[in-house]
Amino acid sequence: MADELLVGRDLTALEMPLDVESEVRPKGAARRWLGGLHPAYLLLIPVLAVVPWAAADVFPFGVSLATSILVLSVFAMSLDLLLGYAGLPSFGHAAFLGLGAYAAAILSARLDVSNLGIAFLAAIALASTGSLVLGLLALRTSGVYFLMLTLAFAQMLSAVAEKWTPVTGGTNGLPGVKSPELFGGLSVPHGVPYYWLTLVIAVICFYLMYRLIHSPFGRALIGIHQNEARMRAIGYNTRLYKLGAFWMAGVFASIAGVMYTFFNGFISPDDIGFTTSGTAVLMVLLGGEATLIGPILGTTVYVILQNFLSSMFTGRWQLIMGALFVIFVLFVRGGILGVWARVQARRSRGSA
Amino acid sequence: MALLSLNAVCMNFAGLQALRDVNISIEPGERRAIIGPNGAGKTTLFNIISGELSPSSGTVTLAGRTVTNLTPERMFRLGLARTFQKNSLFLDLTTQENVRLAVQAHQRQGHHWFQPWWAFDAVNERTRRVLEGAGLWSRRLEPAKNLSYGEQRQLEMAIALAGEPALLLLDEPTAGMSVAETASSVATIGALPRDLTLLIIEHDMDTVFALADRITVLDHGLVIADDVPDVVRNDEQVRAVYLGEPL
Amino acid sequence: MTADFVIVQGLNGVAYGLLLFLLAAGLSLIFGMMDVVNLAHGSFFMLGAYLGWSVSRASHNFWLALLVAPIVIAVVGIAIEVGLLKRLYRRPLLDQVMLTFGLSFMAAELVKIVWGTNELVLQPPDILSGQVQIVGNTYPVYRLFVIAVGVAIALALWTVERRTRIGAIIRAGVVDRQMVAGLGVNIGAVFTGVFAFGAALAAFGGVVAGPVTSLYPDLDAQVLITGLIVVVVGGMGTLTGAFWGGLLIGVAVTFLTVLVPQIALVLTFVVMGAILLVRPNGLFGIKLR
Repeated sequence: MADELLVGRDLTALEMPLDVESEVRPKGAARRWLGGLHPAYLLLIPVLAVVPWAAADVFPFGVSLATSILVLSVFAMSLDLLLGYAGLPSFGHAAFLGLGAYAAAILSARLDVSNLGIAFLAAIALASTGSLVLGLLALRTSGVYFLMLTLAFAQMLSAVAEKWTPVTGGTNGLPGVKSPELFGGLSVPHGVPYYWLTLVIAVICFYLMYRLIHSPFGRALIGIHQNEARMRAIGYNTRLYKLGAFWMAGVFASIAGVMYTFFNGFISPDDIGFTTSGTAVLMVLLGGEATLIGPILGTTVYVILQNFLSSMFTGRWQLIMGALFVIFVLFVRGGILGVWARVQARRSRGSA
Repeated sequence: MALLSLNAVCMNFAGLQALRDVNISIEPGERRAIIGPNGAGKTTLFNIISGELSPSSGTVTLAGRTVTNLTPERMFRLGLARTFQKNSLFLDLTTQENVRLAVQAHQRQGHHWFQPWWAFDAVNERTRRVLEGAGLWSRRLEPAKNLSYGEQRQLEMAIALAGEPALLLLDEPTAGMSVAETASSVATIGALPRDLTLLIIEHDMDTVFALADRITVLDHGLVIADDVPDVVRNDEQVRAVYLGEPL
Repeated sequence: MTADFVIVQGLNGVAYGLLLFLLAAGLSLIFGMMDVVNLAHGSFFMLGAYLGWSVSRASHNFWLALLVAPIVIAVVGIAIEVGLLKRLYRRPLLDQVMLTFGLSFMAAELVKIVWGTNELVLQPPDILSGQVQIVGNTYPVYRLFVIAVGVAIALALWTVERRTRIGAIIRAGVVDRQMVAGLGVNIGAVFTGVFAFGAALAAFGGVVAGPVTSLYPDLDAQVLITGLIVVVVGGMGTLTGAFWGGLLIGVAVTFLTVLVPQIALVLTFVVMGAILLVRPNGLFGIKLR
């Protein structure tokens, strides 16, 4: 029974264990204020801010690696909202990353508008439209049909990016993206300053998603994933909830897309294709579905592995990566967190 | 005025007549048992009342309002709740969460996306009361799949009650239970507020006689008896249908 | 839009559509019977094409390639199904998807390693490389061959599906595989057979498609996406759906690509969306999902 991660269990790695007596509410004003998150986690932020920077001498790629891990983590977490929580197997999430990424790229490279706030607004607008359109169509289906539709949608957008050269730069993409600017024209250069900016955005996104998951809405999504028919019978308009989840996931993904573009200074249709969508799913499954930490872990492992493999086996690394996918799917169920949960369970059974 | 009434309800499934000209009228606060051999059409009847099925002909009225073709969600909003013969729980979620989701829906608090779920006092209070009433408070943090079968049936009913329904449909609530569990179940059902109207499908005759104000007997889609327990107990047709089993 | 234009493009569309049918048939059956979304199906198509290229170059015999490639891919298919896929049948949908996705990753790299990244051209046999006159238009013979082969295979499959025992088993298995297993049929063997056959059909399609489209390492993804659209439109688990879906999408994409190249794929998506609005299970879909 410990084979499956307990979806929606009240005891996650980040929440305080509930008092068994009668209180449902976590103790301590600070925790309540944070929405249940243990204040100790706030300490992570300065650690994350300082470590890659301090280690830059020893590990020069650290900052760049850490930035890309943060950006892709937000992307992966947003996908997990769909995959793990709402139970919607989307294989086209790169579409939303792409909408955000291209919004930022077009604004900066073509229109010379590099203001981050404007880029976010544009990204959110595009992602909202896209998710509504796709949602209204795809959410009438489920399972495989849903998967195929999301995949087709993502491919369609990728094709638009490839063909619409005057706007999107065609197959060659859009280079020439400048550094993002904050309010008042303050430019954020590449390297450590951009890393800090990404850290702030990632923390905000994480916090919002955390609140979402533990909110009545988030719990309802979990319920829908578990037993949609019963949710309808107790009065939920499940279609609306799924659409809401779809929209939010799309918005967060598009925000990751904006950060992605500014990080690379460049975007191309390859970045937002089928492979990216599939890789995102892998990152979520690798870490563990239906948690927020899972996608972060999965992303970290994947990015580090990919960097390592591609520098060791240039040109062949995808073969090895593919083989690892296969081995992983066959033998590691529930991802890293799933394995950890099983180990914990066995240990507690052993000591009991 | 009757709370629920079925008028000339017929249900055909590809040539098979599951229900034939069924007329039932249930008063508010009444406890009605629906009995009959397997295949008599009892669950079909429930499905029609709760909105999962639309009858081939005939009407269903709830508190004077025609509800024949409404969906389960709409019926729920109108105050109808039901349990299912096969448990339909949220197995990986805790017992508490199973009930809380139902209460949350009923109190229309599902749209909040930023405040944490434990901050909604009204929802939590009602959840606690429902859990205590069903005797499940001590098991509230157990995943539903770890509950015993009897406890799961209790949970099934608790979820239905969470929505403060006016009419509750119980589909074989004691099916598969041990004697002790059945007794406990009967006690729980019996202790339900009298202003809650109950419709119970049952096979266990002791349960039926302990709880029912009136009994409706179905056989092959036809109502063959509809009266108080003592009369039904002595009805010739009913006894024949049950193959002379003493009632 | 002259009549000549319509005829030529129409024939192109039908040829393309039949190639899509060869791909979609396997994909649809594999899903219908085994609940597996085979994201490596495009890889089978591509590997078939590349293998066919090699065999054809080595032996100067196109027909040999047409025979060898599907057989080799069928064996590969058996190995994959028995060795890998069988373990995942009780797992959630996404696990199988990820497995086939990983395999497609590997296949794409393999192709780059063995055959390089340059575009390759598969030469059709001499008797098929000329042109003929069709209703006053000059039209390549090879494309007519493609149409003929496609129709022949479709008829053959239709006959097998309707008139043979194995066809009945497969049709029944799509609707209710537990029942079929309960009737004493070795469902495991049927699964392996369906998977291998689907792979072989895709590979065959790849070889046939070779002379029409050139060979490049991204071929699998392109073909897979269109194939998936065909399966969604035609309905899962049905050969009839794969056939008519393939023709519909083939003709639509061909005309759209010529008339409005920039937005052809977008419009295809719109067409698919429109069909799904009316028939959420596809045109001939039997399973309610």
